[in-house]
Amino acid sequence: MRKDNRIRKDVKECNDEELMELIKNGDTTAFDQMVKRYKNKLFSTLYRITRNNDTAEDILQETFIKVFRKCRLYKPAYKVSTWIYTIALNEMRSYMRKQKPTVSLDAMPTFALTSDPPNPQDGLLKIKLEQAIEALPADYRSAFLLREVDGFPYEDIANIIKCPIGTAKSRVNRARLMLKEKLGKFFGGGNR
Amino acid sequence: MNCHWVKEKIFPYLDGEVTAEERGKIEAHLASCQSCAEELACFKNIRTTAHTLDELKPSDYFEMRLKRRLQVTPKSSVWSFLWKRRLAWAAALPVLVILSFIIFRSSSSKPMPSLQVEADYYYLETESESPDIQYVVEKELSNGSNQVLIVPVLSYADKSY
Ligand SMILES: [Zn+2]
Repeated sequence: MRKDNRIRKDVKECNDEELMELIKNGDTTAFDQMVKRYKNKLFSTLYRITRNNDTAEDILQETFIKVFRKCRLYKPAYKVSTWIYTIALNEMRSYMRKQKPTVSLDAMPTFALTSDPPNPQDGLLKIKLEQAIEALPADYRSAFLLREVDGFPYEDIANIIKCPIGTAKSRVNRARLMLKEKLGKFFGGGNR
Repeated sequence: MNCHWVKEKIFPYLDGEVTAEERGKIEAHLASCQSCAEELACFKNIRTTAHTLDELKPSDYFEMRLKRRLQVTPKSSVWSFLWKRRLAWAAALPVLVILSFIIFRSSSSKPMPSLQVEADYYYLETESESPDIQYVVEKELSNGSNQVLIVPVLSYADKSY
């Protein structure tokens, strides 16, 4: 086992861009740290889009394999998070294309919550929102999750889902309107 | 200021994409219009709840499986890369033969360029579609011609902790 004697920053303290530089040099601890940092966040989004545990996990595997093997293609002009999510959604699209007979993301089983919510009222709203997100058309669902759950700016969403910024915005806004339509009575918007 | 205008601006307002002047007008309207205020509150509540949705986790074996998959060194990459493109190579072969003949005739007196890889190569934008090839490097030689190098993927197994 090789030991690096130079003093180096703990990977936990590195920002994403610094981690990428280390990964480019073949540093597997930096890669492990990147996996730790992103696996749950990314899995949550992939699961909410695909609504299938195994599918989301397979896509996540392929995503991290690409992150490691294609790390030298990463350009610091992009945020690492945007780059990784772009790979993940590309993987998801190609995974869905390979599924025969065509698997539609628009008609799948209902969302099942795995953990008991701490606050019943808060928990109810979350369940309602999960169910309503699930019922959104797939394109709106992805855009909404990237914006309101993952917190990406529209420019990044456009890069991740490969569409113009205007389209990204209109998908998020349509999703918001549909959610309000469904959830107005729970979220204080009346039933207008 | 009417409800219609405010409703049109409600998403840009929510996204912080309105001017200070517009924000002032919208907020003045919201203070006096219950309908618009409720609509905004609903969008805000949806957003707040979305921010707090539970983080979901992949299975406990996820990382173990990932590591195992990364430790498998990809099969001999360069040949599979070339093999997958055999038709393209076959089509290009006559052209290459003619070109190399012309180049040979015109440069037979000059020394051949070194084939050593130097550190100053740059990467082509094109990402390889082959899972075994990380990227294709194009290196400019001192005589102005280009040398193409095919670089296999990093192997997780080759690196130590
Ligand atoms: Zn109004």
